[in-house]
Amino acid sequence: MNDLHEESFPDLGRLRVAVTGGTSGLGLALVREFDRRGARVAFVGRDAGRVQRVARERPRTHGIVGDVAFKDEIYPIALQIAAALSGLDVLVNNASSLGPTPLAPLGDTQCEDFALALETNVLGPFRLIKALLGALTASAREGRGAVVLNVSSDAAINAYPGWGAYGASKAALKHMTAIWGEELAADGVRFLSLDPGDMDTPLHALAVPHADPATLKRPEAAARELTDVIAAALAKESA
Amino acid sequence: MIAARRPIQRRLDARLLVIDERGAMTEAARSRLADFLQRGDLVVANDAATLPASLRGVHLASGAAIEARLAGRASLAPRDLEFAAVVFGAGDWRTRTEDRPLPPPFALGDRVALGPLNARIEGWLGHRRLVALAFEGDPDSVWAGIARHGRPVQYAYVDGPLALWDVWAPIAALPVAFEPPSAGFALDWSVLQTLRARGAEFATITLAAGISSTGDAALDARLPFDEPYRIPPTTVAAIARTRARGGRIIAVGTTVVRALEHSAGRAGDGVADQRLGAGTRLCVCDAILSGTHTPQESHYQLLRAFQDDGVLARAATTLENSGYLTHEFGDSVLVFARPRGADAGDFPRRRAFGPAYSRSMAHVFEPAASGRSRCRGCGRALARGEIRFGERLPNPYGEGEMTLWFHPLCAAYKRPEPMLEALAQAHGDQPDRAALERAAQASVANARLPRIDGAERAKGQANCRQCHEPIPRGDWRIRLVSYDEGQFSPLGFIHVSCAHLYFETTAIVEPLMHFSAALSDPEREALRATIERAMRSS
Repeated sequence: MNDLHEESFPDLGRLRVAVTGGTSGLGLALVREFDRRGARVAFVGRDAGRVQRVARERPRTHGIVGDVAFKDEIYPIALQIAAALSGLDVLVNNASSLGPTPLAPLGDTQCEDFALALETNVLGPFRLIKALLGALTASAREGRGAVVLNVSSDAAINAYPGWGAYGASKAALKHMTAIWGEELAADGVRFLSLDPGDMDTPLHALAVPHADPATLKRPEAAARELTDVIAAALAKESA
Repeated sequence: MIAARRPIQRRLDARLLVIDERGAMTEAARSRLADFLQRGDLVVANDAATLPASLRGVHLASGAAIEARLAGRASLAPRDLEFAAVVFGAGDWRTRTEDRPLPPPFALGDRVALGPLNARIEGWLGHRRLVALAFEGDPDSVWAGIARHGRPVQYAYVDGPLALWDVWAPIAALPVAFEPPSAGFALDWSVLQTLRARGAEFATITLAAGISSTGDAALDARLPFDEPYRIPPTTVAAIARTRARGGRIIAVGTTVVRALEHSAGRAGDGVADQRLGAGTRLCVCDAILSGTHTPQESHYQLLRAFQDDGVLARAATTLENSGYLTHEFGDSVLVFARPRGADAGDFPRRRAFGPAYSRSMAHVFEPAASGRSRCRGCGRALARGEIRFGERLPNPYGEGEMTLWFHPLCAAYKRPEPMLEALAQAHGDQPDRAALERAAQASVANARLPRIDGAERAKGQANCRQCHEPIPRGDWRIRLVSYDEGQFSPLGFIHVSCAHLYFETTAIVEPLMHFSAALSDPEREALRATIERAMRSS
């Protein structure tokens, strides 16, 4: 990133941020962006080798190995996030599963693939938010603000053939985010659901193998936009 | 009472026994908690999340199976990887702790493998089962190992193994507790909503709740261990608001009472090392929401700070006869403190929650006006014109505020929080800023470091506060002081050789030498050699 850009955005020095799916695509770009802006970052990834590589590239960050799709892994992940950062201000639920790959019409979708999409895209964020809600509300009470960003998709709104498991799960995530927001407004936790757009990421390549990368958004650009939105939401909360 | 065997935090039929100020009792469903609060009250809970503190493994020297239960830590800092641990021989929670075998004999420096974790026995803490355990590796990998390998500490009366979600209350935030602060199980997001609807406020503190029972009478007699805590400034502000409007402070659990009463109203980090009982004068808390306890339990002692023994005895009878459930998944009591009657008149409530936190009371750096004032930290004169540090605080004995004068470095060691506040507000050209910050940060990170008052040759027959053995006349001893409301008071002595156990750090040489400036040069050299030898052998 160029330095001019960096200068024009606020320093997020005191911010404690956790990102799931932080070792590739948008998640990795978010880890780098938050780290570059001075935030303290913990990230979660399924593959120990990739987690280690990212942690080595970004030595100030905390890498956590875990899979949010599995109920038994949620509390160990939450514990490590809260321990590493001594609390939490921002949770980004970015880890996503497409469901069946290659993409398939619903009629050809295996129940297990649909279930995995729901576990990863809906139940995982639900559980992780629940386990970290104490930390997030504590941060809000202390006047630091608290934000949960659930990464959404236009497939949450539009009915794209072949995107049944993914689209249905992202629609559920979007609606769940809105309800969380209503219920926790009084506790000072902001819930955001944002669609970063079609990006040149491994997930997109799995879904649309022959897409021309030149037509896709760079994940770094999306990460900058999302980080700005979070920073703005926090500024509003703590004001 | 009957133990609650099933790990359900909020049974729909959970019960609440309310004891009002005058000792009158009411029984209710616990979900009706808010009915017993008034507009303007403040509910304060402990948001410590519970570590999976039971770690099974092997003592490498003997090959014997052990279970280590992490039970205490000097601070809440993630980088602090040294724990007090209670060690059992083979077996698990299904055996009553009373019946668990002793661990194999340890030698200092022995290593234990606890699943993916490696740790060293750094010292004994006065009992065969209680050791100082230092984990090896970087903090992230140690926390990962604890998170994945550890299991919640639990007892034989609970059916089936506990998972972390069984012991994290909904408000659980910072994973630092060794057993759940289970009074908080009564609160969930719906209950918090009913509190809010009632016009009551909610705030939190974090205290690393220690282990509640070891099954060993000698060890249990030492419970509760020292517990580090953190009180956010926003909680202090909420308490001040509540006081100002005549509301009551309702502490959720004994841990909250311990932290709030220990802090006497100051925000920041501390280590609660006091015991609360019938003789305690409550300065902050007006009521406690607690689990049910029998008169034999240490937690029961704390209730005596709130109510007379006669009232508590009647409550115990009601709990017993009405079949209340006990232990962490049991029913609850809400005990309001008896009115502070005539005898409370000469113990006015401390005003520490008042203007102490207003921003107008800025600490100062300024040249000493005369050569007559003495430093509160070291007792030596502040030379005229020398930069001195003034800590401003409300006068605890009357109106207005007072200023405590220090040499800046003395204040950095002994009063690190106000020093850091002052440095944060001071302009960049503060002389020795880096050294002051370094010293103050070390003292904040390690809650006992501010107690160092220097070293001297032992005169009388004082016992060491760490090992409780006498310190022979003529040997070096470290002088300790405690600070409370503008006063430093003597806190006793420790052996130089016990310093690493007591302070849980070896970074004591600088403050110790600093506060031993009255010694002659040869004595200072002898002292330095003694400390360095002790630190090397630790």
